Amino acid sequence: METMVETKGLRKTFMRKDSTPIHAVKAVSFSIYRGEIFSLLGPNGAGKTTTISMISGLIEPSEGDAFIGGYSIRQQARQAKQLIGVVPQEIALYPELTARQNLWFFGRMYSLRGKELKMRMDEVIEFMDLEERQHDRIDTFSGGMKRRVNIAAGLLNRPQLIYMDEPTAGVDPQNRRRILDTVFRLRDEYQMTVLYTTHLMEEAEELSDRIGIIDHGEIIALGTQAELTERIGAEDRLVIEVKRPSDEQTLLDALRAHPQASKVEYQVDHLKDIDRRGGSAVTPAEEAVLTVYCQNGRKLLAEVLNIIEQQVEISSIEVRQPDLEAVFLNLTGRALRD
Amino acid sequence: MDKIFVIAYNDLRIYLSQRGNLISLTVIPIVLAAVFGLSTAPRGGSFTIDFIDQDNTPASQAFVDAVLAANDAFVRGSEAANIESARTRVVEGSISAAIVIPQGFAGALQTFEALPILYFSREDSFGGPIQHSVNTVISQLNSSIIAARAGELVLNALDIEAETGALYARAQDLLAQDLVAYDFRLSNAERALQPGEGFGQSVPGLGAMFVMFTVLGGMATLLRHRQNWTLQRVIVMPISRAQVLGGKILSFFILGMIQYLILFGFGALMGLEVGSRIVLLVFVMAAYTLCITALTFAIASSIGSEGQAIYLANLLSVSLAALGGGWWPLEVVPPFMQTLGHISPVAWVMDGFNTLIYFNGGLMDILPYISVLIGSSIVLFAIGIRRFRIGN
Repeated sequence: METMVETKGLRKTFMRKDSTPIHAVKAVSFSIYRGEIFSLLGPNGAGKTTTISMISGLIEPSEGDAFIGGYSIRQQARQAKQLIGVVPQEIALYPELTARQNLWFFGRMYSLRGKELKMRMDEVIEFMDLEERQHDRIDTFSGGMKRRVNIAAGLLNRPQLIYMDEPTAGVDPQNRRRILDTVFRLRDEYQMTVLYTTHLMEEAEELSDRIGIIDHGEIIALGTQAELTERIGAEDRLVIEVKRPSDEQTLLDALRAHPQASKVEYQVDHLKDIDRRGGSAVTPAEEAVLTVYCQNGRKLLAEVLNIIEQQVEISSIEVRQPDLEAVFLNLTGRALRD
Repeated sequence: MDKIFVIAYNDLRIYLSQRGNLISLTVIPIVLAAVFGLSTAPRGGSFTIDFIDQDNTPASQAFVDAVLAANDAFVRGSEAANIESARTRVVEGSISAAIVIPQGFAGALQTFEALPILYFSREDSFGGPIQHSVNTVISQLNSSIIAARAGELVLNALDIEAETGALYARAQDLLAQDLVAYDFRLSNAERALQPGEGFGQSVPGLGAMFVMFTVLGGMATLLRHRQNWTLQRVIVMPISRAQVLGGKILSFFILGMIQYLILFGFGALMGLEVGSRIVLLVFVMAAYTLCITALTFAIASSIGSEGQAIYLANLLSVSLAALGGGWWPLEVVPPFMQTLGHISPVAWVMDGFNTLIYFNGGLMDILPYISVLIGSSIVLFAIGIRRFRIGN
């Protein structure tokens, strides 16, 4: 497969005011193939935006380089940028201008002019379904509409590669669906390569041909979803919410004794009560969560429930199959949403 | 180059699309310039003087003519009925001054006798253009008398009978031939009567202040464009950092020049004379606007929020305008404040404007002021551009 983006040892170090370094991105190297949707998945602050900012030429890497269509972003920035369309996380538009005036300006920045510029503007306006509001000021638009104009501005130059940095942030479900469908259309109808960043596992799972998981400035896993889950040998999880048992240890021993349960976790939340005088007391919640790790959870469910029901009342049951959340948890020991 | 103009055009379009900006660019400066200009303008365009000629002789008439000839702005008022009514007219401000030439004026000149001339005016104890003119005419009369008396004494010593009147007449003839006459026309009094005189200070002075309000206000715009990521979005397009900054600089510069042109256009409507030196005037405006644009970039690199930027822009505009002579001429403040005032670019631009408007200066005369402004611009741009961050 032809490589569209290649990063080599990309590193970014910021200096605090007291001269101590912050390593935002640590020697990141990966490739993105032409025509694929590649998601960079990670929690907030993991280094996704810094990585994308270096690849797009917004910030200078401290070390390493990125190549877009073979052009070095450090040495041949102008040629590389010509191939890129950028959709920032922020609504990077002039609120005082109309949608069309915004598109005119960004089109001119891509050296488009005259009939060609008009044609491209009409094209992206139609593509993002903005015809009716194209002459209205951006500050009169809803959040979802603004997001669509934001995307339209990134498509004006018919880029070979489009970066989309959390484009569904703060968007209602209807507009979110529309944006996700747009991403598929960009790949399928326009053969664009999409580099998509998100902290939402569901989006990455739905959209991506391949996924890079980033944490603390490092790519900790990369591949298709199937490759990633297979790689950690992920098991199903039976998540069972129960009334807190009087004898926890007996229940846990009984579950752990089952030959197909590889691991059992028990978690009780604690509640903090604050009285009128400002004093507080921490008490355990009346409910607890049992998580049983096993192969083929659906088959084992009846047996596990039988063990639990003998000792305690069950509130809810959920069978979770391996997902990116599990992958992230397995790799970092933390949930993606933490 | 094309992209620099597009960025500047876009920024100007955004600025001018907001009604509040249009008001602060036009209405507020014009209203303030009008208030300041009309407040500091002299009342009327002439000085009216009442003469009560009780002697009514050719000599007294010659005295009246000599005083009126001292300044084109002197106008003879209607004949007052008596001394008291003339004094009342002066006190009420109907006329600028009244002069009473007593009966026997011509005879006193012939016999060299002292004779008081009554003079009423609203001028202060240091006198004004009328009093200076009267004193000068009287000095000329005295010169003629002294010359005639000297001649009489010499002739008497030679036992030659001399006629006093003839000697006096001869002395006056000699003075009229400019043997000892001097120019007593008061140039400042004459200039003070130019139409639009009050606007000679208010238009350039307030112009300097409002250019600062407008251009320094650009700090907030820069920060806003960085916060809403439009600046970053532009820089990831195929355009250099220098082009982005060039576009921003050009837009601020054009806004500053528009502000100046609005105020000077208003000044011209109000009668402010800038004569044929318009090109030089534009040079001075451009040098100052460039300096303020550079100051904007130098400061913007250190400002963290839009609120800070607006506060600082207002503070700097008002204080530097006051310090540099934008509100009142620096000539009226103590010498050390005149020196201190020149830390403000307003002082240098006002020096340039004053040289052109009041002293009919040329390019070489304004070159020092322009040089200081452009030199400062270069230093400030070097600081600002080097430190300015496109990203957060």
